[in-house]
Amino acid sequence: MVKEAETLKAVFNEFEHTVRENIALLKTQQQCMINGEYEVFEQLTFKQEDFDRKLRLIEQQRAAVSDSLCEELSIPTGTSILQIVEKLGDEGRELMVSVSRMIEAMRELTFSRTNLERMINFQLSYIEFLQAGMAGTGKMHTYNPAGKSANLQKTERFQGDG
Amino acid sequence: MRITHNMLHNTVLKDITNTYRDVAKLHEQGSSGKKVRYPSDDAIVATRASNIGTKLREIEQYQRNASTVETYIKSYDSITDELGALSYRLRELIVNGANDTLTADDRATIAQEIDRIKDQFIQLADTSISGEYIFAGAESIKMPVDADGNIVMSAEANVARSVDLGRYRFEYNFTVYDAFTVDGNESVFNLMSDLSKNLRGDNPNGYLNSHALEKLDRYESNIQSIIARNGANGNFVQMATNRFDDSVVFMTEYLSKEQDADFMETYTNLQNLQAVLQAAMKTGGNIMNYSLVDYVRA
Repeated sequence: MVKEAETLKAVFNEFEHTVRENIALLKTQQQCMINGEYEVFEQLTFKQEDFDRKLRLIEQQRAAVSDSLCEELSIPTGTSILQIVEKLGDEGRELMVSVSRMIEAMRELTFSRTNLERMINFQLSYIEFLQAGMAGTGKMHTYNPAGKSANLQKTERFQGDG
Repeated sequence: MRITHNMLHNTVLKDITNTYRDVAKLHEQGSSGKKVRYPSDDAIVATRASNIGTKLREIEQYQRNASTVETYIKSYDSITDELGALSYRLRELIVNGANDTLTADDRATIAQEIDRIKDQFIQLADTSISGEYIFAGAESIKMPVDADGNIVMSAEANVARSVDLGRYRFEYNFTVYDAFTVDGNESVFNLMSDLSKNLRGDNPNGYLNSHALEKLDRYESNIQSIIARNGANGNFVQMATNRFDDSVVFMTEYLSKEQDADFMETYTNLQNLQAVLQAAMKTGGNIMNYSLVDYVRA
């Protein structure tokens, strides 16, 4: 296999590894949501930001390695991986296995992310529900500098405009 | 100013009356267990208590909703487990049936077992909880599959059922089209009927080795996806139940003690939590926007 193809395979493997770590983190975050451990959850959110940065860097690396492989194979830069694999012929088989595993990991990541977002959305809407119960309005508002209440919602008890 | 006896009398009388009123109020609070019995005692706290009392009843309904959904999730869980095991057995029978050395009688025996598995699939598809067929979508009072394995549930009924959990619409159900079809098209009952028919025919190997196994692969992956989604639903309901339980404890305590200090602390905590959750929503959302997605799809 050409050297660039080997490097590209290593990049895909690193991507898959990072995504799998990220999935584990999302699962821990989900467990924190279930248990109501919000301080731990917040700490894990910082780690999630690190993952975002790391994945962005790997993606930049992927684009660079892929372009240099395209030059090596005399095909236009930015060509998709399927076309690169086709061009590589038998040598591209291992690369394709790495790509498939990476795509599978990305699918799992999307699934975990969607579940966490669903949990967060529930919590946010439930917080609004609790706040409404406590304050008798959607939010407990104060007066703005102009002396008018901002966004006071009309309720059964409060029918004014602030 | 000269203090007359009459003034002294009036003052003493007033003091006595006030003391009696305070004693009576304390007595009332003692018997009701509440610091604020009438809105005039403390209008703000009384209004808040009334709001919280209403919310408490609402949360109790959400708890019942969550409990119902939990029953569905547990049923889906055990049914998909069974479907997985039956599919595994089906795979063994297909591989076995494609063996060239088998006689027509051997194949007929395999076909009979496949017929029995089909019956088990039908029974699972028609599982009901308290008279509601759990795979029937919007037509939950009608059996979704008839005794011959025909899906009789209308396509219009193939909708997600949802329940209100704390003002959040939560979708929890799976229909026969989700759990008993290959890619939402061909029914798994038809697949088994075809298998049985081919095994009783002259040359079943072509069908068994290519079509049947390939369709079963896709069906098994479908079941795996349902198991994963149902598992995620289970986590969600567990989380919602925990939050409802927490709220009930807080609100019940608030109503019994009416302590504003607790209230403000809880309110502030909720605002902090809101910020934490909103920050979490902003992270991790861009991963799939990367050019990588185009790169692997194109």
